[in-house]
Amino acid sequence: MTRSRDNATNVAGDISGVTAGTGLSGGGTGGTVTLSVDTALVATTSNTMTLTNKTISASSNTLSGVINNTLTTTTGDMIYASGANTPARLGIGSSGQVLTVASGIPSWATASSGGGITLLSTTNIGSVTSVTVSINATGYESVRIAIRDFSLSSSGNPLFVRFNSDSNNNYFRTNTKSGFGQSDEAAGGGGSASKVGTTSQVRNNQTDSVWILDILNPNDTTVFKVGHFTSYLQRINDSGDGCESGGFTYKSTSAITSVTFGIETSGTFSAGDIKVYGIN
Amino acid sequence: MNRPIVRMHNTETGEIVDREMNDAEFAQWQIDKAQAEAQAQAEIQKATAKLNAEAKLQALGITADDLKALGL
Repeated sequence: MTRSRDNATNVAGDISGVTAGTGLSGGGTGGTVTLSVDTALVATTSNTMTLTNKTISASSNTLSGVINNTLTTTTGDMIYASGANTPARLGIGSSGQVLTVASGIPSWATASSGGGITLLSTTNIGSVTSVTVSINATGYESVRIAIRDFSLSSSGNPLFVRFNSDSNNNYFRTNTKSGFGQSDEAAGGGGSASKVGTTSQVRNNQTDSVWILDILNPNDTTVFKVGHFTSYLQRINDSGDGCESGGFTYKSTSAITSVTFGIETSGTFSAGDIKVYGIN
Repeated sequence: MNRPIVRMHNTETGEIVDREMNDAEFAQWQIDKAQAEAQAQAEIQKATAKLNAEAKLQALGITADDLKALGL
C-alpha cells in the first residue's frame, strides 16, 4: 500500500519545509525543494567577488598574490623583492634622493649632479672685517668660491682668503698681474704664507671687485688642495684697475670645510656677497 | 677698544652670527695687520727709490728708454 504524503498526517521526523538561511536562496514547503548558494553573499570557486572590510587576521596565512599591508609602515614606503617570492620593505628616502641599485637590490641614494655647477650657498658680506662661510662639498669634484661686487669702507687694505680657519704657513701662491695703470708685471710668488692674499692695497671706491677661487678635490683627505684664482681689483697706489690671476696650493690633506675672506688691516667691507658652488 | 667684527655663516643651518673676534682671531688679525703695513711701507719705499733714480737719470740727461736700449 502506498501512502499519499499530501493526505498524510505528519509524523515525528517528517520535514515540513525548508527555509533558505543566510547565504542561501530557494527553499519551500512541498515538492522538490532546491537550495542554491547566494553568490551575492558567498564566494565560490567560480564567481568573482569583492570583499569589503574583511580582515585576514593571522599573518601566518599564505595567500598567493597577496601582500601583507603591514609591510609598509611609512608614507612613501615601497615594496620590492629581497629574494625570489620574498616581498620586502624599502623605506622612503630623503628629499632629493633617487632610486638606484646597490648589490642587486634597490635603494635610495643622493642624486649625482651629473656634471655642471650647483650653487651651494650665498652669504652677504656685510659691514664686517672678515666673513667665514662653512662649506659642505660632499659629492663634488671641485668648489668655486665667488666673492662678488665687494667694496671696502676704507682704502689701503690687502685682502686674504684662508681655508678651515688655518692661519699656519700652509699656503703657496704664484701670480701674474696686469693693468693697475702700469705695465704688466712679471709672474711672482713667494714662500709659504699664512693665507692666499692679494698683493694689492685695494681701494674703497670700487664696488665691482671680484675674486674667484676654484679648488680641486675639496673632500679628498689624501692630497693637498690645489686651485687657481682670478681677481679684478683697484689698487690704491695706482691710477687704474687691474687683474691678478694665478695658482695656489693649500698644503693640507683636510677636507675644505670653510673659507674665510677678510681684510688684513683696519676697516670693514661695505658691500658684496660670497657664493659657493659645487662643480662636477 | 672694541675688536673687529667677524661674520660666521653656518650654511648647513642657515645661522649667521656677527661677533667680535675671539682671542685667537684677534691675535692673528694683529699679525696680518703688521705684515700688511710693513708691505705697504716697503711699496712706498720702492716707489720713492724709483722716483729718486729717475730724477738722477734725468739730471744726467738719461731716460728710462736709454737704459732699456742698453738692455738694462
